[in-house]
Order: sequence, then C-alpha cells, then structure tokens
Amino acid sequence: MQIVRRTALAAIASIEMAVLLAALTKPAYGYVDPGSGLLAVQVGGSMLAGGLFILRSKLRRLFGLTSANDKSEREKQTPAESSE
Amino acid sequence: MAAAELTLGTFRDPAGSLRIAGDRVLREVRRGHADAAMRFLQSPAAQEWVAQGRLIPTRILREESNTLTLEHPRVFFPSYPWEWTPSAWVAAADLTLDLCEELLDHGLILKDATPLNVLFQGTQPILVDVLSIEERDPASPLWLAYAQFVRTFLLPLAAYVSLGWPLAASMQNRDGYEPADLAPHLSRWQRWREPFRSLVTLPLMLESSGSESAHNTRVQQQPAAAMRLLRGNLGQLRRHLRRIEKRMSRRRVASRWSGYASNADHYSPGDQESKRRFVEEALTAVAPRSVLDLGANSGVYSRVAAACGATVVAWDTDVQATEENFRKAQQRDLQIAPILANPARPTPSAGWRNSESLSLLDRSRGRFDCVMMLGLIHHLLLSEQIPLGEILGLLRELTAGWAIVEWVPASDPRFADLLRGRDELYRHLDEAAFLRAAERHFTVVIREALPNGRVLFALQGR
Repeated sequence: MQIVRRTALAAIASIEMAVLLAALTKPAYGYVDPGSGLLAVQVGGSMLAGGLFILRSKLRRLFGLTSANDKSEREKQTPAESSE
Repeated sequence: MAAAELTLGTFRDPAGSLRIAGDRVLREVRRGHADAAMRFLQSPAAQEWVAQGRLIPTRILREESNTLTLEHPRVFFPSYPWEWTPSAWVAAADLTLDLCEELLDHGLILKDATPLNVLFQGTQPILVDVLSIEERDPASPLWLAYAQFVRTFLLPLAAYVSLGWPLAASMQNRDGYEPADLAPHLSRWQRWREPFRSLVTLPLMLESSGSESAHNTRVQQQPAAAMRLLRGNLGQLRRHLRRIEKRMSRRRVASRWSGYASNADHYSPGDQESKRRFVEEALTAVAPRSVLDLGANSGVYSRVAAACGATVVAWDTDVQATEENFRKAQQRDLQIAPILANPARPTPSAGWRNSESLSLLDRSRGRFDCVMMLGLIHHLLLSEQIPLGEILGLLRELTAGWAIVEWVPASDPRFADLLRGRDELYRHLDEAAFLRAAERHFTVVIREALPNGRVLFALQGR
C-alpha cells in the first residue's frame, strides 16, 4: 500500500513539473518593457527554482518529512476545524 | 523676486497624468486605474512610509465620473538622476526595492522601477509616482519591472563603477542601458564576473539563442512558491546593488577638487575661521529658510547653512566632492541636497518636446531666500569667461532676497592661476568693478576684508 502511495506521489510530482515547465496559462500585461534577455533570466530562474521547490515538497511528503511551515499551517487549521 | 510659475506635464502612463502649476502638484487618474494604489495609500503601512518621508503624501482633491484628481505637496527642489551623485543613485535604488518588497505583503507590486519616480528631500529619497503601485498576480513569480530596474539603476551604476561612464549620461537614455550597450566594452574577465555575468552576459546569450523564455511573461506557479521566488528575485537585485556599492567605495579616488577644502593653502587657518564666522553671522542675521550654495565643493559652508536651520541645495561640478558632501549630509542627517550642477552650463530641460523635465534655472529662479557664492566668482569670470554683470544678474534671479558673495581680487594666487597670461583682458576686474555690477541688483549690507585680500559681502536684493 505504501509503495502504491509513493509511486502515485512521484507520478503527481512529475506531472506537476511538466506542467510547471510548460507554464503557459494566464498572460500578464506589463506597463514597461519587460526586456528579452533579462526576462529570460528571470523566467528561467523562476522555473528552475519553482521546479526544485515543488520537487522538494514532494520528496518531503514522500519520506514523511514536514517543514516548520507545514506544521504551523496545520496548527492554524486545527482550531477552525474543531469549531466546525 | 517671486518664484516663477511653472507648468510641467507627464503623459507616458496611460493610467493618468501629472501637472505642476506653481506650487500645486495635481495628478489626474483615470477611473479604475488607481484602485490598488489608493487602497495602499490609505493603509497604515503607507502612512508610516509617508511619515518617514519615503513616500509622497497624497490627498483626494476631486472625484468625478471618469477621473480622480489627487494632490501632492511640491518637493522643494526637484532634481533629476543626471544630477545625482553615485550614493544618491544607490539610495534611490534601495528605496525602490524596499517599497516593492513592502507592497508584496499587501498583494501589490511596482509596475515600473526607474530613478525618474524618485525625488530627494535633502539626502532622503522619496517615491513620488504613486501610480506605480498596482495589483499583483499572486501566481506570478515575475516582476515585470525587473528588467527596467536593471536597465535604469544597476547597469548605469555598474557602467559608472567599472567603465567610468558618467551617470549624467542618463539624461540621454530615459530607459537606461540595454545589456547589449555594455557588452562590447567589457573585458572577458568582466563579462564572466558578477554583476555583469547575470546582468549582461547571460541575458545576451539567452536573447541570441531565441529562447522562448525571452518573450514569456506568463509564468504561473503556486502562490506560495511564486511569492518565494519573487522575493528571491528582488533579493538577487539587492545583492547586485550591494556588490556595485562595495566596488564604488573601493574605487573612490581623489579628484581635482575633492581635497580642496583641506589643501586650501591660499587660506591660513585664521582666514578660514574668519570666513566661516562671517558666513555664520550673515546667515544668522538673514535667517533664510532656504539656501543655494553655488560651487559648494565638499560642502563646508552648506553644513554651516544647514546648522543655521536652512534647507540647503548645493551645486558643484565635481563628482567626488559632491559625493563627499552627500555622504556627510546623509551620515549627519542634514537638510542638504548636493547635486551635480553648473551655473555656467545649467542642466537643460529634457524629454519629449523638451518639456518632460525642467531646466536647472526654471527649478531655481527665486526659490532661495539666500544664495551663497563663495570662492567661485573668479572661476566664472576667468574659466567660463562670463562678464561680471551677467554673474550678478544670475545671482539676483536665483535669490528671493539675499546673497553672500566672496570677491577674489586679481592679487589672489588662485586668480593668477586662472589668468594664465590674459592679464590685459582682465585688468579692469577689481573690487570697484564688482561693486558697480552688484549695486545694479543689490545693496551691500555687510563687507569684511580678510587678511589674504579676499572680501566677503552680504548683499540684499533691490
């Protein structure tokens, strides 16, 4: 069961990475010239860092590790959930 | 002399336009284009920025069906980036990044990032273009003004520090330098060294490879990841700025004039003290709210005027001396705005139809209660070849009332240095000639001759 869960998580991570790298959804209209080479540096860097960010969170979930942020998010949710 | 009535219009931003009429600064905004900005301006965070003097105060003057009219106070003396010292550029860049980071906490962002959005009050930069604030797409990790920040702040600063390109050249480049402008001038070593690696070499490689990313402004990510990446991008820009600033301080070299005050061998310590006392006493008697220090050098007398309670604008042509004046005023939190400006070749108006920025004299006429011209008149007479009557005429145009002037006689060693064999041409220049020219515009109220032959005057405008 654990193996199935891990395989599923890994598959989701791969799909998300592919979507992220395609990353073409909503256009953003700028007021200033966003540059071309300088924009490419920003886009490339953001995609790479974003990919690593998602991969890291998937790996953490895969190995059952949670970050301090995840914990605090869960703690924030608990009182709300208990009041419902 | 009354302050000249000024009108200046801006029109590039489709969201609105700005008009300066006399002492009023009015901004007309198209309905629906300033909602995000107005929301921020009314927040406690924005009020704190205003209280710190880092953001221009704004009040709603009129609300009509299609337009909103905002009013801002007029900054006492607007200066332009082409008149700023390197440290002023750094301060304006830091302010832009600080505000952008602050806005992210409010779901907002800066839509443009150029030194033209910043003015100075003393050495404190103040963001004046409130329409730069807009709603942020929470899923986007991009700052669309990133490239403009690089073009208009980082590349001019890096080119100044590493290539010696003057920051004054920014008058010719409204939107700064493209990476391709700098690339041919960099050595191989410089190209692969930061900040040029990230700001010039890599962007050019990606541009020439025809990368899809070079035209893609549509990156979407999870909001938490997008925010983190955006903050990372801003942090990267800040690190480049710190790197350039560090190199700037290492390369700060002595210029022709930066050591002038300490090497003034034509002034004995006693004469210097007498001159300082005269200036101090004259300023105390006149009690000006605003002082223009012409030929301020590193700001010895600008600081005397600031200590007397005046708001000071200091002009000089020497970058290093003016930079020293700026840094001292910044460290001591003095109301002095040192800029690179030359009364003999004043900054012209610039931009579309020569009407986007005001000329130096249009910003200055009649704006100052007192104008000081110490140790400058012989340079204007001999190096710039401006007649005495013209010099006194300009002085009268600039001051609303008073002038403190140092007359340098022909016997002075500095006068002789500049004369360079043209004795015949300038033989007529003596104190009597100065007084004849001065009395057409001023009344002499105080006169004090120093033992070194120089004469100090406090003049009141007629």
